[in-house]
Parts: sequence; C-alpha cells; structure tokens
Amino acid sequence: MTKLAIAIDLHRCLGCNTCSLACKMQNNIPDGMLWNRVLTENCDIFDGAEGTYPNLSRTYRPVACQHCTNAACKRVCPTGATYRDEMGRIEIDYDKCIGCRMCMAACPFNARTFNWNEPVRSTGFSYGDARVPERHKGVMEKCTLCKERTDEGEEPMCVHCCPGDARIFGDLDDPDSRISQLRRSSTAHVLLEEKGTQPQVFYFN
Amino acid sequence: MTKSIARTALTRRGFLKTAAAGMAGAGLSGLTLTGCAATTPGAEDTSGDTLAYTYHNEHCLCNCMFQCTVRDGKLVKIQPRPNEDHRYQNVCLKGISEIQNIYGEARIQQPMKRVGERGSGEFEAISWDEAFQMCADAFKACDETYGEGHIWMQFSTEAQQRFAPLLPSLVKAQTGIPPLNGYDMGQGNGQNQAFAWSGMFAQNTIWEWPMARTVLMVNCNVVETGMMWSRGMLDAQEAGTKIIVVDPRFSPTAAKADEWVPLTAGTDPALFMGMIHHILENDLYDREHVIAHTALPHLIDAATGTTVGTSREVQDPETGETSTVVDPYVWDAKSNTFKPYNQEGVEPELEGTFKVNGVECVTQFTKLKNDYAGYTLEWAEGITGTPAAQIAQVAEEYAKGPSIICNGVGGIDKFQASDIAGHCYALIASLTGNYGKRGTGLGIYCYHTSLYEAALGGWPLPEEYHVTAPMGFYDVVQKSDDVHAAMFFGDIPTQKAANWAKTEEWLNSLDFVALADIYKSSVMDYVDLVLPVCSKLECPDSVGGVKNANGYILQNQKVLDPLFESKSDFYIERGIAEAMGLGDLMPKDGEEYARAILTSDDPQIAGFTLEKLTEANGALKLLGSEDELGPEVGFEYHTPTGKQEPYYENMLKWGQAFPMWEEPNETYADNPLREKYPLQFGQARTRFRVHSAYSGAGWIQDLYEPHIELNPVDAAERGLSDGDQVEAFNDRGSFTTKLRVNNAIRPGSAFMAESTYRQYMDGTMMQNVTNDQLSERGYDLIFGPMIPYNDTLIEIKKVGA
Repeated sequence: MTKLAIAIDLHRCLGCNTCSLACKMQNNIPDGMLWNRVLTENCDIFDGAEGTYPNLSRTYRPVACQHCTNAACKRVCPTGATYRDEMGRIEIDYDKCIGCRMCMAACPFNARTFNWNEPVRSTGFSYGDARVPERHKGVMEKCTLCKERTDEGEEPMCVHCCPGDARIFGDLDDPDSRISQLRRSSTAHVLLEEKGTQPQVFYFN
Repeated sequence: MTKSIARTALTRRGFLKTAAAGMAGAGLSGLTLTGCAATTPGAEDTSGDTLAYTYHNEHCLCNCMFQCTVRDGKLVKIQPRPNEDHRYQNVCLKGISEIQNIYGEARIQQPMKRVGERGSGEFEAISWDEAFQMCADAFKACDETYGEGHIWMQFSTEAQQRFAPLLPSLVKAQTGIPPLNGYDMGQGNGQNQAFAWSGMFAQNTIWEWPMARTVLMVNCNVVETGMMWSRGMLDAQEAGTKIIVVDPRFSPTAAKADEWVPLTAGTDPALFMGMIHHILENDLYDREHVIAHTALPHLIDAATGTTVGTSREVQDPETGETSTVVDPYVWDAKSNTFKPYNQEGVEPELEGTFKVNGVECVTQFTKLKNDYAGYTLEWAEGITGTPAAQIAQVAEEYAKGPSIICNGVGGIDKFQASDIAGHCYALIASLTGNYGKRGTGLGIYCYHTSLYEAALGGWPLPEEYHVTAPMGFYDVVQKSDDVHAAMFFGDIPTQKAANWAKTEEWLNSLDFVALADIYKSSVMDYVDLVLPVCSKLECPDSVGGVKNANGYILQNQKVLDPLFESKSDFYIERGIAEAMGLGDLMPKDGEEYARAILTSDDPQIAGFTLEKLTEANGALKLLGSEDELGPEVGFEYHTPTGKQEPYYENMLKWGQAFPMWEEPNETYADNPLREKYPLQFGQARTRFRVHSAYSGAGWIQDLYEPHIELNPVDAAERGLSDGDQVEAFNDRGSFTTKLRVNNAIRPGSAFMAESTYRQYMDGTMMQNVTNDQLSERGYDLIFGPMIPYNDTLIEIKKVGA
C-alpha cells in the first residue's frame, strides 16, 4: 500500500506563506480562497508571539488538509464525494459534491473551503497545472496533496517551492522513507490528536 | 482591501465567502511568445505551453531564478528554475504572486499627463509619442533656461532591473548613485577602515557559518529580508553553531535564534561597548592575536591621540598626489625603548605609558581601556535595557569564538550612530581574534552568498555624455537649489528621503517631474507625466537583460510581451533619447545591449554567449567558482600598517577614534519631546513586500495589509484595541492606518513594515512623520550620512479622537 503524506519541520518553517501561494497557483484556486494557510500559533496576528515581552516564543503552523486516516469529512459525506484513494490521500470527486458542507463542519482543522459563488480570478484567466479540474459554485475544495503532480511521482508544489526546506513529502507505508523515519522522531506530532482522526500530515522540530 | 483569508484560526468556523474581485485582464490580446516548448513530464497537457527562464528582483536580495510557464499567452506558473545546486533553486511568495500581480489593478497601464493641480491625482491618457516629446521638451527647456546639469534622474531597482541606465548620461543629469544612498550603509561606514575593505559585504560567505561557534546577528532579519539565505542560518544551527539575534523586536529571525537579545532601539553601540568593557576587564581578549595582528600596541600621543612614529611621503599611484604617512612606534619590551612597529624581532608592549622624544605616549590599547572605563555592564544595561548578565554572557560566548558578526542594513542603520555600531563590530572582532581565520568575520552575509563576480562589459557613450553625482537625494531635497527638472524610475522621492513635507515642497519647486513606474506608487500624484514600465517578466525583445548574481550569469528571457501599453525601462529611455535626437547613441535593442554586456575579457565568463545562456535555460555558473569557501580571509590587509586597525585616527575630531557612545538624535531617553510623543517609531522590511513593491499585489494583500503594531501595554494605556483605525503623529505630520496589538513589539515603541502606497493608508504616508536630521559626522564617512528614519518619536490615537 501507499500512504502519501507531508511532514513539516516547524523550526525550518519561515512563516513566509510561499506554500500558500504555490498551492494557490498550482491548483488554480480563485480569489479569496486558500487551501493552505500559515498560522502563528495561539496568536490573532501573524508574526505575533506567545508570552510577555521579552519572554516570548513563536511557532508558525502551516495548515492544510491533514489527509486523516480516520477522516471525519469522509465519514459525514452523504454522497461519497469525499473519498480516500489508493495512495492514501483524501480527495473530492467534484461531480459528486452536492455542496451540503457537512464535511466543512466535520473537519476539525478548518481545512476545507467552499465555492459560495462562481469562482472569480482577478487575473481574468485560469492558472497553474492544466491537469487540475475546474470547480464551480456549490462545490467544496481543499488540498489534494497535489494529486496531479504526485500521481506522476512529482512532489507537491508547496514542497517544491518551500524556501526553508521545511516540508518533506513521502510514503508513510515505506518504513525506510525519510518521512517514516521522521515520523518516528521524538518531536513528531499531529494536530488535535484527541479528535481521533489520525492525521497523516505531521509536524516535528 | 479584502478581508484576510489566511489568518483564520485552526478551529474557527468562519465560512469564508469568495471575495468579489474585478477582472483586470484587459488589453491582453495579441501577445506573442518566445521560449521553448514545455517538457513537463506526466499527464499535464503542456502542448500549448512554453517555458521561459528569467531572474526576479535583485532587491529581494535572493536573485531567484524562475522557470515560467506561459499558456494561451498568459503567465500561468512560476517555479524555481531547476538547478544542480539546490541553494540557488528558489522562489518565494513574492515571485509566485507575480502570476496575479502583473495583471493586477495596481498597474499603470498607459502614459498619462497631469491635468489637475500637483497632488490632485487628475490625469489624462496620452500617446507614447506625446509622452516622449514632453520629456524631451522639458529637458531641453531646462538646459536652455539654466544650462546643462540641472536635471535629476534616479532609478529604483524595482522599476529598473535589467540594463544599466544610459539616459541619465545622455541628458547629463545629476543622479543618486551609491555610496550616497543615505541608508543601508551606516554600519559599513564604521567597519570599513579597520580591515581596509568596503565595510559592506563580508569577505567570506554564509557557507562558512558552520565553522563558527557563534554567529551574532545584529540588525539582520534574514528570515524575512533575504529569505533564501535563511537556509544557510538553519543549516549552521543544525551543524551546532549558536545563533544569537540582537533586535528590539521579536522578529521572525529572533524567533528562530538560539538566543534573542532584546534592546532599546538605537542603542546597539552601548550593548557592544558593555561587551567590550567586559572583555577588557576580564582579559577575554585574544592577547596573542592583538599583538601579532592589530595596531592596538601602536603608540599614540597621550594628549592628542595622534600616532607617534616616523613620517614618510607617499604618492597615490592613481592621482599622483603625495601625502604624509606616519609609521607608528611600539614600545619594545626587550630593549625597553620605542621601535618601529615593523622592525624585525620587536616585542611590543600592549599596555603602558611611555616617553618618546619627550612626548608622553600610550598604546592604543591603553587608550581603549581608559576610554571604555565607564562603559560598565551596568551602564550598558541602563542604556539598552538588556540585563547586564546577558550582555556579559553574550560577550563571553562571542570572545570564545570562532565568532561571526552578521549585520543587515536595517535597525541601527536608520539611526545617526550606525557608523559607531559598525565601528564597535570591527573593534570587538579585532580584540577577540574574530577576524581573519575560518569561522570568523563580519559584515553583510545574507545577500552576498558568493565570492565570485565577473567583470561584465557595458555600452560605451561618447565621453561628453556623463552624469554628475554631487550629492545624495536626501541632500538634494534639503540643500540643493540647482535642480529644476526630475525624472524617477520608481518611487524614489517617497523612499529615499524622510519628512515628506520637505520632499513635497522640493517636488513642487521643480519645473517638471516625470515618473516611470510599474505600479501606482505614492509619488504618482505629485508628478506631471506618468509612464508605464513593464515588469521583469515582460519584454519586447527575446532578452531583457543579463546580470551577474550568486556566482552565475543570469539571462532575463522574454516571458511575455509588455502588458497593457507598458514599455521596458530600456525602451522608455530610448524613446526619450530619440525625441531628443540622441537615440543613435543607444543600443538598437535589448539583444545588442545584452551582447555588449557579455563582451568581457574576464576568464570566468569565457565563451559565454546569449545562445549558450538560452541553451542552459538562462543561467551559467561562473567558470572556476567551484570552491565556494574560497581562501581564508587571513591577516594581511591594505591598511596603512597592514594590520587590523580599529583605532580611527581620522575620526579624532569627532571624538570617535574608538567608537564612543552617542545618544540618538530624537529618541534619546530624556528628550523632553517624549512628553508629547513617547513612542519610538521603527520601520523594517517584511517578507510581504520589497520596500513598497508588492503593495498592490492582490494575492499578497490577502495575506497582509498595512498596519502599525503596538505592545498590548502601550495599546491599553491609550485605550486602543486591536483593529482600531489609528492616527500616528508628531510635529512633522501624521498618517493613518490600522492598529494591531502584538506581544513581539518592545514596549515604548511602535513598529510598521516599511513603505506602502498612500492609497492603502487613506492617502497618508509613513514618511510624513520620519526624522530627516542628518549627522554632520556622516559627511566625513565613506558612504555619507544616514537618514535616521527610525530615530523618530510619535504618539498614536484613535482616528477622530
């Protein structure tokens, strides 16, 4: 089996948002939407800090679909539009999506974004990978782990473009892969473990 | 401004609606393409795609090389250009944002002339022919009325990217060229003398950092301002190097450091003086190094501070001028008398008071100890607010070495005492043996990543055509009365001078002002003629430029034809030159100019041609540049004695032979002005812009909007809340923006990412409040005075309060 995932080195993450825009470009994401966001943990302001000056700390936390093994979004989808594919990725069949937004409510990571209106792009044209399907009004969308690239053995665009080399892509079912080794490291952790969704995306320092 | 779509917290349930946005793709028909057919593997239908390779803004400090995909005449993808050396395979959010930015509403789309009053923003579209003729007529009129040499012309790196400008020489303009920037070079002003180098870029590179035990980063926020080189910092950390960041703000780089040293803005010299005092008091200096490799044992007149030694006449090989050089004496321990410093077998005393021909002398080192007697840790804590124990600990770690001081060009560089800070770095490095050997050094590292640079050719003009550079732009605004017409490529006036009211007054005194720019920058409303420049991704020719960066020759290949009615800066220059009857003096097109640049005897680029660059997808590594570290910097210098010379005798008249404490001009602790304006206002670069560039980039606006930041304590004292619309003000003026409350900001200060366009700040500008008081000492320094932008006091209140 294959279980594709991304590991994120929180120390090497510069908080630069290149991943957010690389994803936006690659996947033709319309105005006002992102599949990948970079949060400053426990802060309302980007580049904020936890603590009281000068005893401060800061963690940038890139968040997109966690491609959970026990995905809450998949469980609640009434049409089977959200599915887990043979590569271990959580994907959306846009033709089957009826726009009920049950998945959006179920996802504990706020990782899904909905086309409330017909998508608008201020460029006036579609951009990115020509293989990426179009989404229309009333359809949910989210990180596909760059399905079109990873199907062909390429790494996701966010990994390809990361200036800090903070993102590692690989197969968790291959015990010798770098990502599997990192998964076994002492600082490896997932978000909201208590929710029981078993995210495949994980973080480490 | 659209609501931020990126900040939605992890578990918040705000279902975000798609923001309405207008289409901005008008005028895109008829585009033609060059470049090769895309060969992306896999199932993507790339049959209609072309790939082109180019470089991005130099001003980001990373010189990223791009692989651009064009489909149906539109730029649809920007990725890092594949490179065997991963360090130079880069793109960041600003690069990717160009997909939207170049088509965005912020673009200037056609030539326009002013029809209302200056400042009214009322323009009408005109043809390029009319625009070129307007410029030509205005420049000729200026020459006829005042004589030649009364036009000011200056280029920013955003609006001028590719070919070295020729128009300023053709119109015999005054121009602002380095070193008279007024910024970025303040620390260099203080570092250059000690080791006889420029004082700017370190003589080794960031790739040597893993060989250092400690790297002290001062006024350097590489995680935002030289993002790609953060990898070098992180790799060094992983190799065991301790990174210490000195910054008033808990910057993104401070957050990545092993240790953060917070301090009051503008007090960096005091921090270093405390460190140096601690090193001297506790014998932490490298005595062997100091005696062998520095001038600190040399004798000076105890009363005057001048060197005592033998005089000789020397002739400048270039100018032929003669001057007197004094070869210093040292006190020889063996013979107990003075001897020439360079006499064989001499054993110099490091400390002491001696008589030389009846004159009481001391060693430079003894003077240093005397001068620094008061700079105790407690004194330094009082000035900087940094705990004495931390200053001592950092001094001890630095002294242990090998250590590097990495400075950027912000922070203290925007205070008058920036040269004193740089001088401190040179002094502490000399004292502790942290200059010359592997894993040591100082200067700018996070930009200058290669020791290799090729000498390129250029486009020769007849001798009579040349610029003059009598002063920096800051002085033109303040002091010059002989400029009567101006042309700017980019928003020079709002960037290169403080205190906007004075700049505006100067602009209004001119007979004619033209602006060539890509985006609708803040200065647009104040000019008579606006010309649309195309982005670096657009070009009418197959090649828009070639340059040397990061140890490569890079080619700016055509990605798109110029959008809207824009032209490249080269063709704007050429159009004006033609209207003045001077067009024949310029290259006929970009290809001819590029070939001239590649015409060079430098063996590092032997055989490099446009064709070879194209074959290599736009980048060729310099020949012979494989050894990335290069030789050790070593212990031989072009200083008068050949040694490290941290004692600057030529600065005696300013009391700065050794770096001595000087209060900031405005933000000093006891300034009575603080009663009205208690907050120090600091500006610095952010990852979301390059100075003002990208202010109008829609994708980046989604991530970040202009705002001022205050510590929660200061916000609460003023009854202000996060998100309030506020006015920042002082006696010079005011601006309005949004307030964000941030723990990362030092209490007593306000912070704002520098420079954005006034249309995003209710028509106001940060420069309305900034300090323009220049230091007279600066005119005695190699890079001139620095504009103290961050040495500014303000108060903040809610708009309308």
